[in-house]
Amino acid sequence: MVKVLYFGIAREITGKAEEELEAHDTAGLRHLINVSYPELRPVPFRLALNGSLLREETTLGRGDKIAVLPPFAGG
Amino acid sequence: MKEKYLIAGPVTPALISELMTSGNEDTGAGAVAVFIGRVRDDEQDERRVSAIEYSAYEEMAVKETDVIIDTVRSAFSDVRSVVIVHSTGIVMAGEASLFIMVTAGHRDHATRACRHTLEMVKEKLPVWKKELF
Repeated sequence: MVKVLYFGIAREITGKAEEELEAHDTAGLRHLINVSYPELRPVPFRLALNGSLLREETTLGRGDKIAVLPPFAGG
Repeated sequence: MKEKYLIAGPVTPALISELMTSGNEDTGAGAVAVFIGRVRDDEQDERRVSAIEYSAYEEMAVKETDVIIDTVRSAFSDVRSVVIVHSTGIVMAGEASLFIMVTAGHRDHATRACRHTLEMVKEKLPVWKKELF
């Protein structure tokens, strides 16, 4: 299980700040998220692993923390 | 000197004043460039924005702020300090939500580095906003 954190519009769509999901890699996790929350599909979200932005798909281990990051909008 | 902040609520005039005098002991810094971002009362669908609620992934924001500051200092050798403060929570229209200050020996690097810092904040800081009406 990995902990999944939702931010911005992803938090509004899922109605959750975080949850635990079963996934062995980020590609599988993306698929699971898109199936669970179809409204998220149009959102070009990126993923961060343990606080660092991911630039390619990677495997996941127990206790990893994945953040779902919609486009940033600071300033 | 490096400083970084995520704060709750607006960047108040009192905080801005405090931040702007914080580097005064560095008498080699002959140039200070400041950018202040404020909430705009845009009209959307015939409704006017009264405030913005900001949220952030704080753990990542701290890391990214470090990267931004290190990158700016590497790119502009004359820079002596970089201060970045961004709001979280509710900021009313007209209030400041972002403060950037760069000090340098001379004006060229101060102004260019301030602009570069702003663009990096927009691109890299994991902050989101929700308009309130």
